[in-house]
Amino acid sequence: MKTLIMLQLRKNSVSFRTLITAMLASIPLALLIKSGHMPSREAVNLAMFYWLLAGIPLGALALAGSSGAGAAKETAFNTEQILPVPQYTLLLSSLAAVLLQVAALILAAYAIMGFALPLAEMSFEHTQVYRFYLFSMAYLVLYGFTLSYAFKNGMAGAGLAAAAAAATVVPLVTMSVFQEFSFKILPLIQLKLFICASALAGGAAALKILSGTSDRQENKSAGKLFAAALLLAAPALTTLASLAVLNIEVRKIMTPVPSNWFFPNEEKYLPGSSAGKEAPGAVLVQKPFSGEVFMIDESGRRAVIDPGTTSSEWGYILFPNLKRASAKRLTDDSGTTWILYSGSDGRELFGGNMDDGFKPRAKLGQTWSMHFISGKVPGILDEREGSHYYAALPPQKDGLKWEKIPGQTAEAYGYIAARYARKGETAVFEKDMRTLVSGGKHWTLPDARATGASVRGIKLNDGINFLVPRKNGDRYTTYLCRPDGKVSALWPHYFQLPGNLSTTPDGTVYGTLLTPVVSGEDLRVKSIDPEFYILKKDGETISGVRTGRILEKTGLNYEDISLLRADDSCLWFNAGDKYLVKARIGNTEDFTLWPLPPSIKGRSYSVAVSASANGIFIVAKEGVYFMNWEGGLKKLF
Amino acid sequence: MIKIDINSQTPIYEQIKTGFKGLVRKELMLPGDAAPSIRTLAEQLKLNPNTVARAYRELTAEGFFRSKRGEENIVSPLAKALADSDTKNLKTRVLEAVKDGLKNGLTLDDIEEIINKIKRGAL
Amino acid sequence: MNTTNEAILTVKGLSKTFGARSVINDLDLDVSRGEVVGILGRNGSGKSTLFKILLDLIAADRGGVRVLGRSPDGSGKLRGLIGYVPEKPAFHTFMRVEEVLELRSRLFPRWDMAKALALCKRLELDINAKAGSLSKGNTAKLAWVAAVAHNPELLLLDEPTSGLDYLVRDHILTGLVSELAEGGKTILISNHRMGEMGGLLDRVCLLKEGRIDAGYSADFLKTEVFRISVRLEKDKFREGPGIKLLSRSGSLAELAVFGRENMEKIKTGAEISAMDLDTVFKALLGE
Repeated sequence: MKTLIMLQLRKNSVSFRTLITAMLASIPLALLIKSGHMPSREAVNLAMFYWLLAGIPLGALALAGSSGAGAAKETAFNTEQILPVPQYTLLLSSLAAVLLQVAALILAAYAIMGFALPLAEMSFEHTQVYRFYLFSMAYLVLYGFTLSYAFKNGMAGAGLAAAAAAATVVPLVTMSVFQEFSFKILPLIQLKLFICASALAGGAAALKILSGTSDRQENKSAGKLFAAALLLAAPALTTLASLAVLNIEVRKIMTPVPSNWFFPNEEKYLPGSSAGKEAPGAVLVQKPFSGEVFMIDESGRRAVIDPGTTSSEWGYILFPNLKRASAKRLTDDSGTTWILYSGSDGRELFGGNMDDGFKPRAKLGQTWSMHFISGKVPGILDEREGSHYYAALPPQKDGLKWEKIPGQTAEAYGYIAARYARKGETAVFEKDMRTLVSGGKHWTLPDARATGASVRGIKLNDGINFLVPRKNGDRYTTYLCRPDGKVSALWPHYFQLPGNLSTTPDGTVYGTLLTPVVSGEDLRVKSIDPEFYILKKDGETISGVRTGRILEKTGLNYEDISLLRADDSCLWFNAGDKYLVKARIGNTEDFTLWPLPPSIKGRSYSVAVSASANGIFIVAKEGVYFMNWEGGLKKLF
Repeated sequence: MIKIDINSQTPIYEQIKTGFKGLVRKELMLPGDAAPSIRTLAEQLKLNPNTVARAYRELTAEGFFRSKRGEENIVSPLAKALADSDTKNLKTRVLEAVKDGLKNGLTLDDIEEIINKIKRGAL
Repeated sequence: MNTTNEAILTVKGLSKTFGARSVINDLDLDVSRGEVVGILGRNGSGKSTLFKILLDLIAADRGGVRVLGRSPDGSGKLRGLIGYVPEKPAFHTFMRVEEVLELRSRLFPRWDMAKALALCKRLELDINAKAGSLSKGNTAKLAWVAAVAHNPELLLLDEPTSGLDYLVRDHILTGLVSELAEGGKTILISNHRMGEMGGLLDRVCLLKEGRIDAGYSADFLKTEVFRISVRLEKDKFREGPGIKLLSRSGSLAELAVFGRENMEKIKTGAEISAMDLDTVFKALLGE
């Protein structure tokens, strides 16, 4: 075989030398024509880069095409087939020679670039393509050779090979890009392996069949020719079919609507709302392919917010164009749910309810920092060009009336608190930073000031309470200020609402402390075991609830666990959107897991699981489910 | 030196034998001369070596050739006599045949016609 | 005669069709060691196809083939044991003669480089000449050297002297004889001018309509084929196997008669003459 490969290399040597000479000649040429301020290194890199992208693929096709067509010619028969080697081996040696020569060209270009890709100069598309480069080159050579041999024509073979390569690689690239930026639908790794194997092995097998029917004049049965054609078409058919499957599947996908993709600001010191907690009876769902967004409640009743549009025709060829919606909601005392909605058609304010549906009520500007404020009246706070603006809801006939709030952030919030906060819902510090005042009541706090910001009240069974962190040296204590005027120390750590405290729909307040679990003598961090500090609605507090065992059992990370509900004896957690966990208070090692239907893990903080009073909504990949607190699952949509 | 007519109806090995006999009769080959090797003669006349080998074997069997001190196919002293007698025999036989013909009604013209035909290579 | 009666080549029931055309049709052929067999056939009669099948270059549709104790299996090993001179020999044009031989030395198991170089010298073939620049005659010489330098037991020659001048033809024929003289070699030749091989052949096989119809020993063809002139109305004859019409003009006809027994079938008064080999072959083909 080595002898034969050397022979074939010699046969191609003129073409090969032409290519490599041209490639080397482009170096001085690049230096000559570059603009004055471009560094030489960059000019040369660019020249080599364009060789890699265009010159070498064309050269590879030319070498493979002429080699393949040459192997089918009569002269090949007389000069080579009469040698005592199998005819298929001759073909493989020709193929191997071309592969070696193309590899040499690629290596040379890469070496000239300094064995590194000029990533800085590469566009986004280029970066995607280079991942498939070596495979594409091998594909071009193998197919260029085989098809030129089959049709006894270098040009035809090369052209077909280029088309086949495009049909195989382009969908692969688009699917990779799609899954990298959106979500995983297809098992792309296995698919890529299969396509690689099928292209290379299948191509070689097709070549063997063709060698039989062509050189050896074996019976050209329809079966053989069909088999060869199928082997050659398999990779392209697979990628195109995969792309079709991707498109079909993506149309069915449902994702939760994140609340802070376009409205990133969390309400800071005034009561407002975040999606899921405010309207526990319903959840917002989107179908990213069509852009349809709807609200669905526990009974399965749907109200469409945005009907979406049908996708463009290009969806089947390139990756699907997905629409991303984002929304924040607030339900006011009258029962109207307001939605700050950012969808494909822009930003709008919707208002309505599940019975009557939702209607657009006002157009919103292109700002990035709106959120709701609930108080005596519901309203929207917006930050533009460094100033704060407020508009009360509901909007007037001619839209929202925005008024400018004086002052920087702290003053602005103070101003709004004074005007709009419901009595007793917010507490503020007096100038001594010791006395907390709200709605006629006051509390005197021990220790020193840890924060002087206004404190948001939490509604427990006995009324509105305030959680305030205080500092003593370098130790922190969080105190609870009760409606009866008493102050009690709660937790020996810094906790603040809405900073590192969250509330659940059933009114439980909790915070998480991340404690590294250190192993033995060398003090290496083995894991992080989140500790939950919980304040139940009945006033009972639970400190230091560890969930390490749960994380171990579910194989999840400390970031993935959050509290959903607390009752007299049990705690419910959401483990990574994958499990509903019910654990005993006092012994969290005693827990039950219920697996949840798989959902798409979105990119930004969007959570597929939202709790409501009677259970959790799960926005799964192919439907919306509801699971009650004992693991009973039903499909809503 | 030896001429072979592959179109002739006489077997080639016979023609080789006759050829050698002619050479000896014309004293172009003398007793003690070595005949060309089978290979050389075959190459020269473009013949299958087996054919030449057969001719040599028969000539050796007839005593025309003999082996001497490691050399093969040497013309033997009997060769001339054999050749002559062959020829003598042949000539006698032709004479008898002509006489016979003439006795039985052929004319000399007929005999001439036959000779002419041979000259033209038709027989 | 060194006949060991060992079968060098056995073909039974061989068939090959190209599309709708049946090129070889139930062909049988047996060749023993030491035989020199001529294959006679018109252009397109399937000679090349037969050779390609024997050389394991083309797959047969049906039939058994055993050459030198092996069957063609697609591996090409058979070609390493056969000396083949193709009808249109061709070599890589950029190689020098020496390189052509060197390539073969690496691929043919029994290559004898000393013999190859000696042959080139004898044939006056310049080993430094580029294969692409060789004349037709020199190409033929190179093909010959390439075929015999690995001392194969079987030679397959497809039109080895066609289109060559007298001198080159002479070289080739001499070379053939030389190989035969080495002993143990079997030769299968297809030649247009079979007559010039007359002194070498043991047997001639007629390839007609895809099968080998008849084999005639060379001796038979030389000594038992006659040309007879007859007068059409007067002398009765019937054409058939062994009796073929060569030509006619007016009331005269010329016949080729194969075998003495067929001579009796012709009511004579006719003129009998010998027939040269070329005419014999032409008569065989013309059927």
